[in-house]
Formats: sequence, structure tokens, C-alpha cells
Amino acid sequence: MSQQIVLVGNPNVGKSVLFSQLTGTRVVISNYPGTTVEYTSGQLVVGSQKYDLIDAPGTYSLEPTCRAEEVTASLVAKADIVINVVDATNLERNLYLTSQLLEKRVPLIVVLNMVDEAAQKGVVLNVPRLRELLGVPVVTTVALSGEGLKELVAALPRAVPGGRKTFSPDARWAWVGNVVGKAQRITHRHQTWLEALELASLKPLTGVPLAAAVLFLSFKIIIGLGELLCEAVEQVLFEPLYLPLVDLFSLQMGREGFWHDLLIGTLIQGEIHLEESMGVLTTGVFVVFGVVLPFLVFFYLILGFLEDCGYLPRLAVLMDRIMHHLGLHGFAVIPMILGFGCNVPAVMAARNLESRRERFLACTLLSITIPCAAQMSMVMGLVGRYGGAYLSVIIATLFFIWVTLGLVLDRFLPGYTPSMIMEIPPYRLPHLKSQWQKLGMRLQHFLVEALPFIFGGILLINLLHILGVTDYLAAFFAPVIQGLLGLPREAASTLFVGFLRKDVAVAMLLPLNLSARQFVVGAIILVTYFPCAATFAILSKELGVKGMAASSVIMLTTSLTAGIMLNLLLDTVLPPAWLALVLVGLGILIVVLGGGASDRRESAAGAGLPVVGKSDDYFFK
Amino acid sequence: MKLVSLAEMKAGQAGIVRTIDGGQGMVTRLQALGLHPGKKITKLNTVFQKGPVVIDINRSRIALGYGRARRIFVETEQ
Repeated sequence: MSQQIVLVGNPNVGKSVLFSQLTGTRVVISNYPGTTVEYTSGQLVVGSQKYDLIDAPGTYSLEPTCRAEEVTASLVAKADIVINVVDATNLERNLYLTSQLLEKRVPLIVVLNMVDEAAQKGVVLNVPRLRELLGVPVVTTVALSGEGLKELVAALPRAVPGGRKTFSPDARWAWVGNVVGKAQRITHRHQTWLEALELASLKPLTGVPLAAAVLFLSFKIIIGLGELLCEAVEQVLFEPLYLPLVDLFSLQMGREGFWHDLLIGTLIQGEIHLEESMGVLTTGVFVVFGVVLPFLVFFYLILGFLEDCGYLPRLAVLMDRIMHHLGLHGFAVIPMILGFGCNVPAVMAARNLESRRERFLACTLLSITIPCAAQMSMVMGLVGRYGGAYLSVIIATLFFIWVTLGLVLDRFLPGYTPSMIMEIPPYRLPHLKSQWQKLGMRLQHFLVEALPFIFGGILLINLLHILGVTDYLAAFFAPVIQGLLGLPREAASTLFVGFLRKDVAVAMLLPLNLSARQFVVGAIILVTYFPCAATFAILSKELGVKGMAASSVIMLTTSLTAGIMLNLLLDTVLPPAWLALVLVGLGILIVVLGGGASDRRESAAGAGLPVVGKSDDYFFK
Repeated sequence: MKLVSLAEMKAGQAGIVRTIDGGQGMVTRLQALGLHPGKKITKLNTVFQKGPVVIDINRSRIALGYGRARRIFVETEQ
């Protein structure tokens, strides 16, 4: 029987780093509280003894306040050994959780992590004294570099339960104060440039321009370098090497037939077209490796950097005020940003939000308005051909929906969103090795998750086409698609594929020879109408059946409305650049004038006035 | 003794937390973060347009939304 060890500690103390160092299992690590929302387990073998090591979501207390923390509390109850990871730079706050763990009857080891950073910050710790005061083994580590891990493993058999009796929170803090007073000394040190930057990025006057610069630069880098890589891949790999190969294969198959239709697709003017032929080996391979992957590499590089240096929580502070207008608060920015990579981890990150109300709001908003990197790169690549103005219409429309939908939902969902309580980690220089690992993991994940869906989607649609089902679908949906949205009826099948994968669906608009307006309408519908299969699965899990049903109705209504409006307005009433400006302006105006329903309710609750429903009981609990 | 809320404090001002006027959930959550009556804190930022308040507590930083900051009262040093 292998023993179960659980890593427990405050958020952002390095549990996941320790976990991946000890087990060799790769997990995503970042520098913001709440990176891990679900537990991961791995094997650790020491001599003849096997352990199951579990990396639990961070928590400040064993009395959980959000879903991620509930997971941890239940893991501690089942553990054979608990390794309490403590941030050595912040002993006092971390020891509160330690005091609770010492009250449990579970063998415990305390790990003082980041002792290097603590020393740098002038924190001097008396480890033998601490050991004595806690009554359990204490080991010092620098998890990122692997220092102290051997000692930790050697100490595992010596883990003993603490002897504290259950006390009140006040008594716990008194005990913590006593321990810290005896085992820690703070010496003077100089403020580093990173710390000076920390304050600057929080104050509105310096922080807002800084945020604008960071975001602008990020997008510039992703788009600029992404495009370069796209071109390079096309000119070096696809044109001279891949295309002739596929062409030869097509020739062998006689340029037609069932398998040719599935694998190569249709020939355009007698030739294979990598983008438009719609075969698994043509469009399928090209969309993944020629368009999406080049952008994804740079997106994840930048995201990894922002996560690890600790900028995201600061962005959350700056955006807090704006998010309040939408019934959310600053922390919800983090799932939104992650959503630009992939909506699946974004929905999972929303678990850090306190109430069901805000989780529902955040998940619905992000799955409608935040296009993932794969979708975004297809949209940029294809709509961009009609000119940047049309691309700006798409972005402006998404922004407009984000704002108005958030506002409307905030007003009609009963209750309110309690305002934010969030720890802000110090800036840290990203660790190159872990950055590299994270990028690799994410790209691998994309390939493993996306490839089957992309290829499957293309196969399915070609099959449906051969069987004549697409004609039936087209006829059935014609009134909506032709009448209301002004798209050719064949677009019905793209909507169908969009249920599986959005990026391929966008590519499928290409052979339809659409006008700029039609393409924009089609792209907006595809981005907003429904999440892809993977996101749908995780959303249903997070929101429950009723929540998902409610969310789906909102998605379809929003999407249809947006499509109809764009079809009516774009190019007929306003040229694209003007329409984009009007949408952004109107969105900002609506936020300023109409937002803050949740805030008003929170104030009312604070003043003891009656509030419509409490923050957690509403119709789909 | 003068009590002001975190929202009203000036940037750079320090003080000792005296009362937290909130539900059990909020008190427990703040408690776990080390923010409890008797604790010394320093406010770090200027609040702009009901934005969040950032405080220093044991040399770590915590951001509190305006709605909550208004209900945490601090005895400031004069």
C-alpha cells in the first residue's frame, strides 16, 4: 500500500514547483495565487517505499471560502502525511494554516520554501528554534533550483502529528505571533528595482499607462512574430515540401473518389489548395501547423512570462473598478486573459471566484466573447484579408457584447458579487527552465486535445457532405442563415463544425466566397454562438445542467442578435472603421452610465437594508 | 482614538485594525490572511474612483475591493 502525501500551503508558495521536482510530473506553475485549482497526483519512490504525492490547491485556511479550497480541506482529511509548504519570506501569514494543521491528527512536515528570497529580503530564520516550537520536522528548500529536496525526502519517515489543541482564530494568531517573535528576525535591506516597480504598477497614475503598454506590446509581439512565423512555415515547409507530397498522393488516388474527398478534399481550379480544399491532409494539417500553432507559440510565451513575473494580479487590481460595472471584480481578469489562450483552463481558473453568481457570470461572458488563440489566429488571418477595419469591427463587437451582456446579467441575476480579497505576490524574474517546460506542456496539450477534434470535424463534415446531409441542414436553417444573417445557406455546415472546433469552422467560411460583411457576420456568429466541445464539457461540469442550459440560451440569443445587427449595419449604414468606433464608444458610455447594480446591492447589504436574494441563492443553484 | 475606514485612509498611512464590520464569511477570510483586530497595516495606494485598496500587512500585499475596504476600521497614528 502506498502512502498518500498531500502538499498543503498558502497560494503561490511553490507547492507545484516542489511537486514537479519530486515526482517528475509536469504541472503548470505561475506567480499568482490560484494557479492550481484541481489536485494533481504523482508517484514518489524512496527505496522500497512508494508514496502518492498530491499537489493540492493553495489555501489560507482549512475553513474553505471557495471551491478550490474545498478540495484541499477534503484532501487533508484523507492524507497519511501532510507536507506543509511555507513561504519563508512571509512566515507569519503562512503559520496560521500551519497552526490549523498542527491541530489535526496527521503526521506533518513543514517545508520553508524560497529561503533564498527570504535571505535576500533580510528575513533571518532560526530553523532549530522553529523546529522546537512547532514540534514537527522543519526542512528548508529552494524548490525552483532543487535545493533541500534530498533532505525533505529523508525527513518523510520522521513526520509526526502536531500536539496543538483546537483553539479560536484569535488564539491561533496569538500563537503565531509568539512563534514568529522567537524564530524570525528582520534586518534592514535596500529596496530593489523590482519592488519600486511593484508600487508603480499598482497606482492608477503610473499603473494604467504601464498596463496599456504591457498589453499593447504583448499583442504586437504575438501578432508580429506570429505572422512572421506563419509566412516562414508556409514558405519553407508547406509550399516546397508538403504540397508536392500531398499532390503526389492525390494523383495516386486518381484525383477523385470517396477517400480522396475525405483526405484531400475538393480541387480548386484543378489544383490542391491547402486552405480551401477541406480535406484532412490539406486544410486540417494546414490550419493546425500553418496558422494556429505559429500564433500559439508566441501567445503562450507571453502569457507564461506575464504569469511568472507576477503581473496578472496587478492587472486585476487596476481592472477591478471596470469589472465591478459588470458584476465581477478584478480577479475575474485572470480567467479572461487565460481565455485568450484556451477557454478550458479559463473556465477552470474561475473556480477561484467566491460565489456561484460571479462564476456563472464570468464563465458565460468569457465563453461568449473571448476567442481562444486558435480561433483568433484564424479570424485574424482570414478577416485580415478584407482589411484591418473589418478585423476591428469584430474586436469592437466582442468588446461591446462583453460590456453590455455583463451589465445586463449583473442587473438581472439576483444578489451581488462581494468585492475582491486578493494577495498580490512580489515580482519575480521568470525562471527560464520552467517557462520552457510550461510552453512545451501547453503546446503538447493543444496538439493532443485539438488534433483529433480538428481532423474528426473535417472528416465528419466531408462525410455529411457525401451523404447529402449538409444539403438538408442548409435547407432547414436557410430562413435564419439566409434571411436574418445574409449568409449563403451552405454556411449551415460551418455552424455544425463549430460545435466541435471553432478554428476549422472559421476556415470553412473561406470556400464560400463571402463578401467582407458576410465574413464578419459569419466570424462573429462562430465565435459567440456556442463554445467548442472541450469548453462545453468543462462548462457543464462547472455550472451544472441548469446553469449550462441558462448559459446556452444566453449564448444563442446574444450571438443571433449580434449577427443580425451587424448584417443590418455594417457597410450599409456605417463603414467598418466607424462602426468599430461607435461600438467601442457606446460600450464605454454604457459602462459609465449603467453599471454597478451589484455594487449598489453590496452597499445596501452593508447598511443592513434588504437585498434581493443573497449572493449565492438564485435560480440555478 | 480616531477610527477611519481603510477606504478613507491616506496613501502611506499606517494604523491598527480595530473592527471589521462584515459577515462571518468575510471575517474568517480576512482572519486567514492575517487581517484581524490588533494587526498593524499600512495603506499603500491612493484610491481612485472607488477602486480597490492595497495594504501592506506583514510585508505582503493584499488588495481589497472598495466595498470591503469601507467596512474595515483602523485606528490611525496621528
